[in-house]
Amino acid sequence: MNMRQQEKLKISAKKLQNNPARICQGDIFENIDIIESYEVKKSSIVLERINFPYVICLNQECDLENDFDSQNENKDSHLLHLAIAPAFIFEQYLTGKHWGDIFFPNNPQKRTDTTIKKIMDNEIPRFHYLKFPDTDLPELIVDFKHFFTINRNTLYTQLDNRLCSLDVLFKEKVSQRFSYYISRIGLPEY
Amino acid sequence: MDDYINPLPEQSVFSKTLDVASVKQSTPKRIKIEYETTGKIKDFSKKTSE
Repeated sequence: MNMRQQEKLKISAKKLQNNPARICQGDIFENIDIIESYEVKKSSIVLERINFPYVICLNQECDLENDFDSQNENKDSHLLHLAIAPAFIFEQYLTGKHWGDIFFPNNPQKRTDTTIKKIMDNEIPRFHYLKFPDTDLPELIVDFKHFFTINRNTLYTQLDNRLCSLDVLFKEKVSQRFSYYISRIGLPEY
Repeated sequence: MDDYINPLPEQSVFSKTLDVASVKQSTPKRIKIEYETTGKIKDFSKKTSE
């Protein structure tokens, strides 16, 4: 097997063939808006929002399942907001301009850079690289430094924006790596 | 150990397909919109008596 064939077999994400009826851990949505702020003026309302091309759901699978199954029941398992993180097109990430006009651009990087190779091997805790075997999904990268919440019902009304559900193991890997990154302890330097 | 059974109900729709070539330039965008109103306020959380 040559290097090119090995590269082709190297995947870090796999999607379910059919999307489940409910939102699942590791679901990837496109075109999701997050409200930044709103201000009520005399006779107008100023609304600021950010449109994210892609986001991934980070909630635990059991929480999402219990929430969905108990919607018409008086159980203590309802979710108010869901945790999501933006996902970027990997090619765009390499240019350093993946945040558009929201943040200053980073320095461009190449696939041959040591750091990028590590990112693509998911060896850097901050990032999660998603490479699908399917050709209808681009390579994506999730930066765990950024995450936010979206109202549960709002996201359910946008279920048609879901691109795919990650398969078992792959979605659990995202969740496991996110929890590891978010629970890190930064020790002081002396 | 029991065999794993996927408990999820599935929709009949397949995962969406994406035109990968068209999304290479997609980045987050900040959008600011001002909605003009009549200035009247209706608080939907308060019960109104008919």
